[in-house]
Amino acid sequence: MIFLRLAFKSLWNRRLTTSLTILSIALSSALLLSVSRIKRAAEDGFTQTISQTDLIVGARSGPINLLLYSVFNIGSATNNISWETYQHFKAHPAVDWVIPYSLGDGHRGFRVVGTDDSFFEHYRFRGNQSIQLGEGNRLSGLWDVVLGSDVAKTLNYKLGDKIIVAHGVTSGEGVLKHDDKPFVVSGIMKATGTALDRSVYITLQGLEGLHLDWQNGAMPKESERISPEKIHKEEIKVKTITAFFLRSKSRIDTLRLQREINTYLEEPMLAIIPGVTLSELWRGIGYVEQAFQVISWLVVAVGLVAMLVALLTGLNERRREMSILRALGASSSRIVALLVFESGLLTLVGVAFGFFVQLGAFVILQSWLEHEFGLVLQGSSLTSIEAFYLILTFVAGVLIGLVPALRARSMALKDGLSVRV
Amino acid sequence: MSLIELKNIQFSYSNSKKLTLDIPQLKIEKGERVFVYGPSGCGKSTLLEILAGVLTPQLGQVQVLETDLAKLSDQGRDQFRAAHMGYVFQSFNLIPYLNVEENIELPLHLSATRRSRCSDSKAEISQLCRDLGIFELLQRPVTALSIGQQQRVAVARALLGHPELILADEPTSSLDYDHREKFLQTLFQVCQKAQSTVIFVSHDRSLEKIFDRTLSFNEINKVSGL
Repeated sequence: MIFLRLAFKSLWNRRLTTSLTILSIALSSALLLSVSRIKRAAEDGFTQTISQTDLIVGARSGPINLLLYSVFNIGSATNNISWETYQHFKAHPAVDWVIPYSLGDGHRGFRVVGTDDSFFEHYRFRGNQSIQLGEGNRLSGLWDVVLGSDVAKTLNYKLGDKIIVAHGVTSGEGVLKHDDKPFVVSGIMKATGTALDRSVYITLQGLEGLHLDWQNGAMPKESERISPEKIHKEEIKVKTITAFFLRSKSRIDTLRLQREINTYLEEPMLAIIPGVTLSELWRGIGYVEQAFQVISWLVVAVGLVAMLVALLTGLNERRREMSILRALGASSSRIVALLVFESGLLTLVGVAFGFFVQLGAFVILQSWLEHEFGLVLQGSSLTSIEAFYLILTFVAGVLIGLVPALRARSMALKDGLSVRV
Repeated sequence: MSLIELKNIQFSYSNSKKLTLDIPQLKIEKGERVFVYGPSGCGKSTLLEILAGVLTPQLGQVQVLETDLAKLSDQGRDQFRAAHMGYVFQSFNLIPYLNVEENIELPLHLSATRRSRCSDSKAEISQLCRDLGIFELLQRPVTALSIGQQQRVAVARALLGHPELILADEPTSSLDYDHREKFLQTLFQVCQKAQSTVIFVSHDRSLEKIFDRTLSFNEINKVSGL
């Protein structure tokens, strides 16, 4: 008991060094936790960009390519799927629902997605979150467009604004523009924190209608142009789509359906299970987070070294104190225990403080992170792995405390009570 | 049997080849007040540390209170010191972050024997401090004390719980002459009350006249005689 009191009073006596040491450990462990938590949020955000979709189907290419162009708007499709094939699987008895996706055009750096009402109805991300409109309505007219939240925010669009779609490009300003057929903003989606926010959505017919007067991929001459008023949604026949998302009626059907699509004789296609491919892809790009994790561990090491320096410097000043305790009959092992207890206490308080700093910071920054980076902090604020990190830091702190403690002990045993400087 | 008996002690520090102590024999009786004088750095403090069981000689036998210190474990020696000895340094005797009273009562926390001899520790501390003239300082931080006051606090701490042996390592050398005599007289008074044996080492022979027995360190230690 007396040693507890000695430790507390001694630490209090050196409160400036003590608090700086605690601060350095707190900040470094807060960083460690933050990196781990952001990593978790980023991974969740990434792998849950799409959920409840059992299969993503596109023309035959690589699984990652299909995932990238369909979900993340990176790269492009090599081929399309015919409308007949799409209808075939839409009507398949094992299929619950499908969402068609037609890609290829863009608007000022954002891609244009041709889809239909099933997108708003069935698309799910992050578990069971569905697409919500912040303003306006879903797609109804041929020239309606619904904007992802990032698009509306970046380009400062309001309901009723007219936008021009560029042909064939999904990034940057296009050269060929469908400026004869402007779309009208009918709705703006709420932020989802996924790639959905960076797209604009039109009907499949709208996308087809844009290209109605195009011949073999070439822009129509002025005289051959068909004015938008003359095009009616009901008359347009969609010929192809780029990909579709599919939900099977039971999970058991998924693998069978996947095989059926992959071996479909009418058309070469590829069906992937998004979760599997997303995890695969994450493993590929997750190394950035790994690097951050390594750096944050290094920062923890620096924090602990700062403590070691403080303890060792303090030890020199405290040799007299140790001699007094020895003369009073304190055993050398109790002196070791005293010093290890002090460093343990410092790390414990530091780590706990760091945890609360991290917790507080995320409470304050949560909405900003979600808004700016689409990072949604969900799940527990401390996972078992993070608790393990904290315990590891604590153990390291105690072990580091052994260095000055054992040094004090060896000095005490060798030199007796006199301080030889 | 004597309170302290040394036989054929040889001691050297681990980092030097030269012997620091070579004492064929030394006996000190119970209740004696012994003055050991010798020049600085001759090993007087080392002798006290051997008596206290902090250092262990490479050769020879150290018997204190009929206990062979070599036969005790490290921890056993520490416990023995806590129970039976009070130690006073030349200066800086006190833990700086504890107040006077907390410093004085430290031995009671470190030894059950000392605790058991102090049935009413508050009263004992008060009495001891009155005898030493530091009663009004009890709640002060030790950093606010003069050196003379600090040394008296150290004596109070050494004597609390009536240890049999007081080891004093030049406790007066940081005091001026007038204070030295007064300090020693007070020390003897309280030691007599507690019936403690005092071993007092110093390089200052002017103090020897008030001790029962004076030993020249050069005569008991063969190393320094060379």
